[in-house]
Amino acid sequence: MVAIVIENLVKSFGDLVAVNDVSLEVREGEIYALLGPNGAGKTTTIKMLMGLLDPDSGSAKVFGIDSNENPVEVKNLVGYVPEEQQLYDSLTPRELFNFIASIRGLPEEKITKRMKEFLKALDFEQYYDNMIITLSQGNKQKTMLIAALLHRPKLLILDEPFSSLDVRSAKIMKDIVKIHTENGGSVLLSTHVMEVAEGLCDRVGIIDEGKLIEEGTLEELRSKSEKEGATLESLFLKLTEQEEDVAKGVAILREALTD
Amino acid sequence: MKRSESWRYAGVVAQEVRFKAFLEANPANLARVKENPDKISKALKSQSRISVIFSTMILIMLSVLTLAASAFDTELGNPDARLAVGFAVYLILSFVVIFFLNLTTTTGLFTSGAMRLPSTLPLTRVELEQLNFMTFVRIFIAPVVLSMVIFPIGCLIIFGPVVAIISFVACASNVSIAIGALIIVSKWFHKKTHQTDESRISSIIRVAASLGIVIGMISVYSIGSYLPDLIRFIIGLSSSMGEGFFTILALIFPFSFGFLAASIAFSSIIPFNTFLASLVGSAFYSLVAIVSYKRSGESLRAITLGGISTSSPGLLKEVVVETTSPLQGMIRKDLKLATRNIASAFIFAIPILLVVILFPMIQFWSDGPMRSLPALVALEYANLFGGITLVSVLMFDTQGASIHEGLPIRSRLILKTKTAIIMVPYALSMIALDIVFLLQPPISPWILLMPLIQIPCGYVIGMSVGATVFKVRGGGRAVAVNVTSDQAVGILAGIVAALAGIVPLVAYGLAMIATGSYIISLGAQGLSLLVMVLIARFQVPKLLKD
Repeated sequence: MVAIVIENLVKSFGDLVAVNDVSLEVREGEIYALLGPNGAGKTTTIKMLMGLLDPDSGSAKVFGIDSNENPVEVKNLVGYVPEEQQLYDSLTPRELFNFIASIRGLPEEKITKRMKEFLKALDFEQYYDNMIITLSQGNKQKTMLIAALLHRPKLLILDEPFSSLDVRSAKIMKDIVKIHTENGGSVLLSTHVMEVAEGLCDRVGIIDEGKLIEEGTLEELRSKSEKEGATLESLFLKLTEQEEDVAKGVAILREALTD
Repeated sequence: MKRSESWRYAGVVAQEVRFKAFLEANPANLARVKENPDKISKALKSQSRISVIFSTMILIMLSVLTLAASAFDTELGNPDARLAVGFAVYLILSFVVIFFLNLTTTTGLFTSGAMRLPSTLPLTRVELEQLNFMTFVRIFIAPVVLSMVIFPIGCLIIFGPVVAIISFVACASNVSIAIGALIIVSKWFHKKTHQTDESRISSIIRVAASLGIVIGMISVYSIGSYLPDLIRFIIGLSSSMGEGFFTILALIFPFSFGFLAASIAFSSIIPFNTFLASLVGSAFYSLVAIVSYKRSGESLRAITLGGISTSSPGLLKEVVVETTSPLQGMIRKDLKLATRNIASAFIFAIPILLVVILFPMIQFWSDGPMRSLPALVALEYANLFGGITLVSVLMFDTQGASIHEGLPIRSRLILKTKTAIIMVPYALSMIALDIVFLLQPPISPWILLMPLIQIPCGYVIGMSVGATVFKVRGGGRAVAVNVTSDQAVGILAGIVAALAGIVPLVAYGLAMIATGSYIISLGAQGLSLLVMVLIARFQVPKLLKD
């Protein structure tokens, strides 16, 4: 079965077409990276997939369930980490996880055991009873990740998940993502960090100005752009036609810093 | 750094402090700030302006009422006692005004971390302390200056220059002691509301502190109506205890200043012992004020540069995930959020606010025993408050948007949760109104059943207001709203609650006109309410979508 099927998805905000006829698939057991510059339409696509935004046309399905028609069922299957960290700042992680476990109807004993494992692995035990507002960005990110993994979802949708994590936690989380897929789970990952996408993902989709301009494995992208042995970063810049802009920007900065 | 430069930079820091206090006071702002920063910025400016206007109005009102009662209301007692007690009552009330109106801003001063950026700049410790002090002055300057100017001017006009000078010293001392107390309590409140040891006592302290603060704020706004009664009560109580009691009172803050002023204005009436006691008391409290001023400065420096520790001491607690039903889980979460924020805690004070507002109004409406019409009007007020309470509860969820987006929560579950929460203050409001009706003896005991029969209307109001807000703002999906930046929602909630809540009251009124029977009227009220509850239960959720 295919984990995600997005077909001809379109979403506009006024005159701006944020997502323009995007179609893609994420297979079971696959890690798929959605790459694109800021404002390319990645987050809008993910929000439609989660049923948080209504598409103008097209459809998004998770394990065959239409996100627009049955978003609650989609959220039962998905562990979602959004880009923005708007947590309940006045709660502690303990209170937050109690709330999440209650909403998801998770069994107390099993979930307590799993929680202990998460906390130990992520070195988070000492923050478990501190108010979330007092946590660092990295620890907030860990809170979000634990919240997303708590119910052992079949699909993980991660929007910039590693940006604030320290080296140890980032490595652990990357391994968790791999273990998740080894057990048959799927991952849709949106990231700016090319090294993460390159090292972790099976396939990559590049989105720019609302359009999916290219997708495939790293090898497929290299052959399509005729750049043998190229890194994902240089492929990305070429495919999104940003190579020249980057060169100009660097030249200007060099001048400013050497004055 | 020159003082003028420091003053200018302090303006920037003070702006940041106000901004953080604004966010701290209302969780909804936290999410909105990114969505529409201009709107938040405008709301902040308008709130600051309104705050200054309110402070001015309240202080003018307190000054005028106290001075008028002290100088002209001969029914209250002897002129010396009137001046002494009136003077002290003004000091007590202005203390409360300074304290409560600035509590959230002071808490914001601690959380803002606004001094962190200046502390990374190449400034000396002395310059940093100067900047810190200037920031504090800029934040509190309006209420401080107002409270030190308005009353002394009034005293100058009515009682002459000597009393005016004493009143100025008294107001300055009062301000200094109030700010000292404000810093200590803000520090404690901030610590308590950000500390998370799960003990029951800690939760009770949090709720009690929030409730106390909200009630304090409400009292400040409504105290004007009770001021002459307060003066009369203190004079009456003191007189009944004999003349010696005035001498004891003259030793107590802030009565010392009042009796010193009265001793000057009415030197022939006031006994020498009382004058001496007031002189010693005034000197002592002036000294306390100077010490408080110095300590406040030091305390402020330590807090803003070093912060307040909110970490819970002790060993790590065992990790256990406790689950309940989704509805209970949502309610628990909302109640926890409500007790950790002054603005959110407002919902608990709604019944008290209702009584404070309605009690004098019912007394005014009812010329003789309490009849059905004033009771119906009072109940309709409660309905209006019910709608506003629901919107306040809807504000909680703007804080946890990222969590909400990923959780499988149906809109109807959210609506049920919010409705369940508001039913508690609504039911308490009805019980409170019953007590008010009892104090204004009703023409028939059946009238006391009206609020009790109306209690299920809390469910109707919650469901109908919530569904309307979700429909209008979220197209049927559950949304969080922010009343401070979206006043239209507040008005809409009030209108819907008033319309939904008035139906059983109209049924009562029509039945009363038609039959004149209390039993039939109450039956009509109950029956129409039953129909509305069924509609709210089975039809209203159809307006929602997930």
